[in-house]
Amino acid sequence: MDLPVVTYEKEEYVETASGNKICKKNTIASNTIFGTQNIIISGKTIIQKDVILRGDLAVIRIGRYCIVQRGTIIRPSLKQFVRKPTMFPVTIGDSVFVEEECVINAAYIGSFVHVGARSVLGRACTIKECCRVLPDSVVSADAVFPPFSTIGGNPARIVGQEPECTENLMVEATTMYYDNFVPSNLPKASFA
Amino acid sequence: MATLLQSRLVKYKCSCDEWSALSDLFYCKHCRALKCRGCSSNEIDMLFCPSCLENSSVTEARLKKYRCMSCNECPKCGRLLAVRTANEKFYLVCIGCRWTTRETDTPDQQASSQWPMQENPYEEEIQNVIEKMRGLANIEKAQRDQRDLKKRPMNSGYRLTDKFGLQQMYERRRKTFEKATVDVPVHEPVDPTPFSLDFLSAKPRPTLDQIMRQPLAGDQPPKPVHVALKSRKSIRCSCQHTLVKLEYGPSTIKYKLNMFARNFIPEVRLSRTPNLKAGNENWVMISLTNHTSCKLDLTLTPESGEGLMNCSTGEIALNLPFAEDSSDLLGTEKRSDNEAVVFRQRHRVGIRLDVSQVAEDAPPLGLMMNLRLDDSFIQTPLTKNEETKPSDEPQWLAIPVRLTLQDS
Repeated sequence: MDLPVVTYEKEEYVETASGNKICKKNTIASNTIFGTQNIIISGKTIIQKDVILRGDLAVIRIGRYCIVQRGTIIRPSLKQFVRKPTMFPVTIGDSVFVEEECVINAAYIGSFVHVGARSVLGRACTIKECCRVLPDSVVSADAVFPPFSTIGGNPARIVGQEPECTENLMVEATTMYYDNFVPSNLPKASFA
Repeated sequence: MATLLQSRLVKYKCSCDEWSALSDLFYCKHCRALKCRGCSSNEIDMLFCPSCLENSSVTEARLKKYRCMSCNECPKCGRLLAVRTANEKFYLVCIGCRWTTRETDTPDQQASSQWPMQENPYEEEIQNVIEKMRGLANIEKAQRDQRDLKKRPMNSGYRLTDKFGLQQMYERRRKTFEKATVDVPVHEPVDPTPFSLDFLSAKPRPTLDQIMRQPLAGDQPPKPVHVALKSRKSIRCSCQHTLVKLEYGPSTIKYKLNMFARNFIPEVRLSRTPNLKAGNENWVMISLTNHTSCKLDLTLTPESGEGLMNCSTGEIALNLPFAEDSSDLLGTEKRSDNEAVVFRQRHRVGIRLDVSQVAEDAPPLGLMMNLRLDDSFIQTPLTKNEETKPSDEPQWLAIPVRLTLQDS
């Protein structure tokens, strides 16, 4: 199915020069994006309403054509070492789709990953490229998942294999979502 | 992603008559046919540990029973165990359920890897049985050989000089002839079938997952489980040509060779969720996308028949440009190619199909896609005898497509 047109209020979003669309008017707090100088977003990325980005803890890097849907929290993880506690930076690759109300404490999410709604990615976990996290999964801390795995359950395990052309599908889906994410006062396209 | 675009709703018919989503299909340009995983052969490319992403050779993996020696799983919950140090020795802790190796009889280790595995309690017995079977096989082989040798008596003689080690071979063979039985302890009968009321006792019994993780543990205290290796497969068509092969390395996603069907066949997709009402005239919006690298000529014919949605739209002939085709940059205007074509957008075409629904449950919509094959990308000759000169007659490929209109 083609992705439908999603409209947004133009006043609520800020569009940067590189094409990022970031929601500035949130319902849960006046400001949900902290440490903006530590957040690097490559371009054409959509950060929707009520998404919390904790850039004040450590660096958050997000690639191109990423979609972070409503209510997701991206929070760098803390690890207690012998000498001192360390915050791990979060790296998210290109064309990553994060659905609603996820909690992301991961250290690394590769490109072309789809994270289902209400999933919890535990402390400093690593999800390699082309994976899919099923909705309501709980990935345990420090877990590593190889490319092309379908991840699900609590604690999350590999439950299947993603198709070989996941990269192409994911690029198409995220680009289509970005193209169909339009301000509500624009005239609607005649097709979806 | 297959789930985001719901590509499972549209199924294509593979050359083996199975219906699969386009994302699961491959195209063999030598057979000129669609192939699925079922009708092609999978080969193991590489074995690797899913947690440390170390790859290992086949012989090494076989020696280690297809397990990674440095990564361990919790025997209780299956999470990856973390290594902790105390007094310059190592022990393992599960960060999920807090199980540690210190709870069991496993002492702290000097090295962080090479943790002891759960021993098979019947190991000795199995070895004895294997030994006995080997002995029996030897005897059988010797009897067979003796029968053959009797026919050729010249072969049973002695050699005086042992220049080529033949004498040793003869001696070995003579020994097998002499040894009629192998001494192994007779298999002891086990106890009568145990029927106990243990399950009533308060002691927690292992769950099915835990038993499957360590099937031979029985009542022994659990030990850390070495992580099982995963394999990466390449796919080969029945004509021996490789369809999909990844580059070497456990974490790579780059392909040496890929023959995804979506790079050769246009993708049919439902454009909107169809709103079907019983008895009324309805319409279904589909979109057709050309992901290939060349222009495509095709016809789309709705099929009607037993168990299919009745569609009144006739045959639609289309010419689809490819994604990077600059000649059609301003091609958003409607072309007069067919009434059914609603919009054109670069390499994408929107089509409206008129359907009528009589029953409550919508049957799938059948389409027949006839595609003119462009063989210009085939550089190698198909066979050695065949000439590379392309034939004047255009080759057409017919692919039946089924669209599920109601998500069950």
